[in-house]
Formats: sequence, structure tokens, C-alpha cells
Amino acid sequence: MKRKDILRIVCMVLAFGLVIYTIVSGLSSTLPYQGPTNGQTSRNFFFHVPMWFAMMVMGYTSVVYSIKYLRKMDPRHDVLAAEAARLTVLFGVLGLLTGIVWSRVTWGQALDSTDPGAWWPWEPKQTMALICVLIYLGFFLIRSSFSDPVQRAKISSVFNIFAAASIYPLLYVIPKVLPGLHPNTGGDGSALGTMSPGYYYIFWPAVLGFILTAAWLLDLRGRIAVINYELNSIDDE
Amino acid sequence: MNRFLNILNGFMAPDPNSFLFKDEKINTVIVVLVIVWTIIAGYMFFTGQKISRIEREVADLKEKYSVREEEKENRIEIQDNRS
Repeated sequence: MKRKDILRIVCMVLAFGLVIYTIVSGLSSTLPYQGPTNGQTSRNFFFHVPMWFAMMVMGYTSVVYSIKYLRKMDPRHDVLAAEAARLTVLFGVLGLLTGIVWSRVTWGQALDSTDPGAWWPWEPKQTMALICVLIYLGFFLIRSSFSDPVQRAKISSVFNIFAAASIYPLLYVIPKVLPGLHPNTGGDGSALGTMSPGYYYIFWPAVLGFILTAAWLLDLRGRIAVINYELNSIDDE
Repeated sequence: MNRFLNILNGFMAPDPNSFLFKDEKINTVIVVLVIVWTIIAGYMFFTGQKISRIEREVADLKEKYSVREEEKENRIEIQDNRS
């Protein structure tokens, strides 16, 4: 068995086990009281935040492949960068959805369900996260607007560098200076810093579990994309 | 024997009906999520197996293709030499 195959199996087993652990212990274990607003909804912390961690890891993985493409001009790297960017969007959307559900029952508790503000209060961190996902959607818009594969790969790789550079400022820096409802905004301390120790035993395994799930998905999608590329190159020759 | 059965009883799974629908509703949610995740993970695992098989086939195809290309080039060379 090759080293790559062993790594794949370890990644699969860990991802599967850690997500099961997150679901079971995250939803059933007794947690420290989080106040009247959060209450039992604080269990969403084990799903919402790891989605963003996975999104960031995929975004930075994508830019690494883009830089590799610009250095070596190997089309396989471009294909892998696009697949990682696709997963960045997927985990970003999952992060937004878990956030919307959470904000509905905490920030928008007093509002009626028909009020759009109950679902989307245009909170700075929420809005910046949406912009971040939209930037990655722009990556695919750019890719679809070029028919020449070399031009498409070059321009989308450069765009990807700017997209990856925007992740941290959009998700952490700008919300930190603007007043908002989200924890860790408007000069608030980090939500991770104020977390009760009881949360750590579930939170960090959850982060690792979702990152490994993203890596597993990237491995599958990347291999399919590389096979497609190789078959097309045989056809072209 | 009774003692053994008592010990075994301690390890027994709870009655599924009361565990899922009577004791706590969260148990139902957890079981559903675990089943959904297991199905997704199983699908991903078998997709990985299929991809590995296709990768081997593509590698064979590439090898055959490169052998054919070499043969073509050799033939062209032979023809050139004859002419």
C-alpha cells in the first residue's frame, strides 16, 4: 500500500469518527449554561464555527494550488485550485445557513418570522461572510467567461490570490472594528477565548472533523477533475 | 447464570422505541443525523474506490496510447529511411 493510500484511509476514518463524535456529544452532552439568549442553541457552535474553519482551509488550499499553477504552469494545479474553491463556496454556504438559523432564534427572537430582519439583520460579520462567499462565486464567473484554457487558468489564479487575501480581513478584521451583534465584533473579545473549558473537548475535534471531511471531498473531486483533464488531453492529441 | 444475565443486561442497548420516541426527542435527531452522515460517508468511500479503479484504467490507457504513438513514430522513421 502506498503512503498516499494510508493517508487517505487515516483521513477518512478520522473524518467519519470525529463528525459522529461531534453529532453525538455535541447534541447530547451536558454543557455549561450559556444565558437566556443562547440556551441550548449554543450547541450550534460545534457545527457553525467548524464550517468556517473548513471554508478557510479550502480557500487557502485553493490559493496554494493557484500559486503552484502560476509557478509551474501545470494545468492539473489549476483544476485542483478550482475544485478547492468550489468546496470553499460549499462550506461558506453551510456556514451562512447554520448562522442564519442560529441568528433567527437569538438575535431575531423578538421579531416576527415574516420580517426579513429576523432572518438576515445585515449584521457586519454576517454581511462580510456573504461578501466573502460572493467573491469566491466571482472566481467561477471569471472562469466561465474565458474559452482559452491557459488564459482562464492564469486570470483565475491571479483572482484567487486576491480572493484568499480577502478572507481574513473580511471575516475578522472589518467585523472587529464595526459594532455588531455577533461575538468577536465591535471590540468584543474572541468567542473562543471566552468559551467554557467543557466546550473545548467537542469544539476542536469538530473543527478537525469538518476540515478532514473537506479534505476528503477535495481528494475525491480533485481526482475526478484530474482524470477528466487527462482523458481530454488524450482526446485532443 | 442470573448474575451473568444481570451483568449482560447492563450492557444491553435501551429499548429502541422508548429511546427514540419517548425518552428524549433529541435522541431521534441524533440517530437521524448519524444515519445520514453514515450514508454520505459510505457513498464517498465507494466513490473513492470507483475513482481508484478508473485511475488505474486511465493509466493503462495512457500507456497503450504512448506505445501506439511510439510505434507510429517508428513506422514513419522506417518509411523515411526506405525512401
